Amino acid sequence: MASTYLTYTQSSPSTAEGQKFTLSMWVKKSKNGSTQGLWGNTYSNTHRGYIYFSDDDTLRYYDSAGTNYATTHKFRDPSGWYHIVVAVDTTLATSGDRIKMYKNGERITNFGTSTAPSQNDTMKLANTTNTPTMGRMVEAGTSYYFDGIISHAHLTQGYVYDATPFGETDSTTGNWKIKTAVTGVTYGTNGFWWLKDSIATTDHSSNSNAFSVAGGTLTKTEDCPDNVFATFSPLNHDHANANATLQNANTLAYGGDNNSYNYSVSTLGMPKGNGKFYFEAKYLSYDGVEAAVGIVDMDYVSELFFENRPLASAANTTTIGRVLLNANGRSIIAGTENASYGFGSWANNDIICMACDMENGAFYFRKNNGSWANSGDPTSGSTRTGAIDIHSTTPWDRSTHWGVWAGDNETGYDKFALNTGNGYFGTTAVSSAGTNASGIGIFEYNVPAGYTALSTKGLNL
Amino acid sequence: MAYIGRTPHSGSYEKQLITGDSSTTTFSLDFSVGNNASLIVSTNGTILEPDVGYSLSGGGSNIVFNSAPQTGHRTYVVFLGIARDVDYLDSVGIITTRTELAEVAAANDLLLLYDTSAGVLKKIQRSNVAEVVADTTPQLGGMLDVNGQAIGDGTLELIKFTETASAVNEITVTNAATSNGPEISATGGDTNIDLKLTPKATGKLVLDGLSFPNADGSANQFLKTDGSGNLSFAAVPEPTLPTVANVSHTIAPATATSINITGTNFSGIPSVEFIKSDTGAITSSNTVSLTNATTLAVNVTLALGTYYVRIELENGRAARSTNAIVTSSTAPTFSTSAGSLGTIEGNFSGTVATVAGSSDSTIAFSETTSVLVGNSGSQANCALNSATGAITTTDFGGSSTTPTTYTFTLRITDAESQTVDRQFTLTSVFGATGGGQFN
Repeated sequence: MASTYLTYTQSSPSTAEGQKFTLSMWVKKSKNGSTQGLWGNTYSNTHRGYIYFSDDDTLRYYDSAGTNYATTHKFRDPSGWYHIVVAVDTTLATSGDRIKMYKNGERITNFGTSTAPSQNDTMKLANTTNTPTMGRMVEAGTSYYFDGIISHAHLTQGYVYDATPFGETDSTTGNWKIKTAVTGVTYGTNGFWWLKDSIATTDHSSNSNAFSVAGGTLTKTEDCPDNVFATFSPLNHDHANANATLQNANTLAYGGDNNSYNYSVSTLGMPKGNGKFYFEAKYLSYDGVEAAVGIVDMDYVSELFFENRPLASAANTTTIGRVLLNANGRSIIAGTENASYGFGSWANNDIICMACDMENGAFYFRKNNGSWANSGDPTSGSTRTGAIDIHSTTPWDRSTHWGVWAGDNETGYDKFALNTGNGYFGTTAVSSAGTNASGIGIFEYNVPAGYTALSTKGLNL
Repeated sequence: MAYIGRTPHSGSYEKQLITGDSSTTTFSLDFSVGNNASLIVSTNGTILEPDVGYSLSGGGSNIVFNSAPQTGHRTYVVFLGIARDVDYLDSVGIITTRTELAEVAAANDLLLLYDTSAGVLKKIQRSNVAEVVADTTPQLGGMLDVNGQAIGDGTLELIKFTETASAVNEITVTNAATSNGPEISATGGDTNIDLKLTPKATGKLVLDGLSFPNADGSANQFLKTDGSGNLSFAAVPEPTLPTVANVSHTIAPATATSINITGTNFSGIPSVEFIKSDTGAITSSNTVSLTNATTLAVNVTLALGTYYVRIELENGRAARSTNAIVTSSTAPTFSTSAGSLGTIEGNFSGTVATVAGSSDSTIAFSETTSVLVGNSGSQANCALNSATGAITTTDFGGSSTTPTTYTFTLRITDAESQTVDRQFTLTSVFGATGGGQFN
């Protein structure tokens, strides 16, 4: 459960700063169905304000000054980034314009709740000497933390902007994209620009309102609005959606129920026939038995979880394509388990490296920085030297995309920390970043030539 | 009877006494004799028989005794006749032999001459022969052989001849009738031959009072006089001509345009013409005004092309530019607006933008700044296609990782070297590279 939040010390806000402010932030939400504070300030029950995701996954702005907005739109995509802008100007005559919300550059006009502030109200969220927080809200004595990633967070006070200073439409793709060079914005005395591509506490605005990490652990991610990295998906993470746990922005997965065989599948898939991808999974074992990691045909993800398919058992569900490696070092594909693969058994904190040659249907495993199992050569291309070769199999033929998978085939609580390029295993940074010619992502060990990270940029190389 | 030589005198024979010494046998005779019988020789009262008692030598000029006359003996010779000591006329009247008189004849010496009227030889005393100077119509009957001598007054040389043994050419002096000048000419065996007049040493050839230089001048010089009859070589004086400076002008075609033509020695209102370099077609200026001696203000309307400029002054002196200095051409233009060419993702690879322009000839794009092309820290790391104007890159911004606006100037140059510059900007943006994970 997330517990990280940021704060800073404000100067005493002016009335104008309480009447006008803008919060812009790029967020990648890791968890749905829970209340998660983005920007909050609670001094008392009558002196509080929050911008947050509600447990119904709507975006809300509540302010005890008399404001309560809740979008009808649900924010439930854990595989991408949202650009959220809340622009407040209580001086406007039109009440409906006093609170404006933008999602990915578009103004949100549909609200389930839309109680506007009175004209010239000073909002409690901004007009307070209490300490505001990012990533946490406190309501009735309970803290609600944001679970995910925030990048390029701007707060302007005394000045109001729409989404355009902070993002723009890509002329080629039509997608809303981040502006990393923000110009023409006046931040006001208490404004700031935080988390600009790093977790340095620096205020990147013209102010010096640096933040401090008031709770939890803030870790750097390569995952950002311009390059989304694959994580385990909270939308596909265990049988009955209840008994596997994802943490650390969905980079860490472990079983929570003895009968759940599938922990999770990644948010991004690798297209058959295109690209070569490398990732690392660190095995944080609890029982050391029957755990497995690998890739799976994403066309079967729904069945996988709904039916709780035991993929680590080669003899079962042979229609579902997969290339797995279990804790005994055996390779597993649909219908075949190879005890002579030569990987060797896992130990705690072993890092299982996997190179997926999607162009040739060839897959390679390596433990830590050793040799590739079975004398594999991920750079051998169509020769598929030492590869787990499925390119001529039926599961390969009928597949379209393959995702990273982790799970087990027995009772127990195995735990995997997935690094698709973020440079962390959970909250621990890689200790010795390997070489990576593609320049995308940070890995513990060397990335084979021609391989890259499973991210949006990696997919588009 | 005719007698060549000394006139015989009857009864008056010459006698020569010979003084003997008892040893000398040869004695010179006072007169040469033709033979030994022309003498009566007596010694000591004895008449000597010719060839027995004596003989002749020296062509008859000596007598040689067989026995040397004795001292004290009276010895004498009587000349019955003497040898012919002058030429004689042969049957056709030609003197075939002679005895050269090696000295000036005495005034009373007799000369022989042939009286053609009378057909007889006559003698005349030298003193009675008229002097040449007195001959008012002297003539030569043949070539005058001066024999290496000069012709003069007897003391001073007037004319000196030098003979060349192999000579075939000579000088002919020809007099002339009224209204014609006499002539000294080179004549002789050669068909074409020079006539040389050579003064001595540093002396000069003076013809009719005109003193010619005694040394050659430089090439292309001419002879000039100082007005006192002295000629010398001198350079041909150049007239003061105008010049047209090769200062280029580019004007729009078919548009009356004022330009300044520069040069030197301008005066008056010159005629200014523009000569098309490829066809030679001439276009006159619309107007011309003289600004000063080095500048003409000219208004002209020209068709497309390049032109030489020709200026002709009122005095007819003219000059033409050595280069085609006037270009009539439409200047290139940009069709791409100045300013931003866009915001480009940092590290972008591909075509960043394409600038466009045109002219009435082939154009080429280039960068006048050093911002767009190049990969130093402040350069955009792009390449500019000079033909298409395409700006491409393999890594926009190069090593830069911060948003940067690159301001640069591009130039279009057309075939006539006309240029137009325009400033553009490209801005790099770098996408987000990370975020903060709230664990």
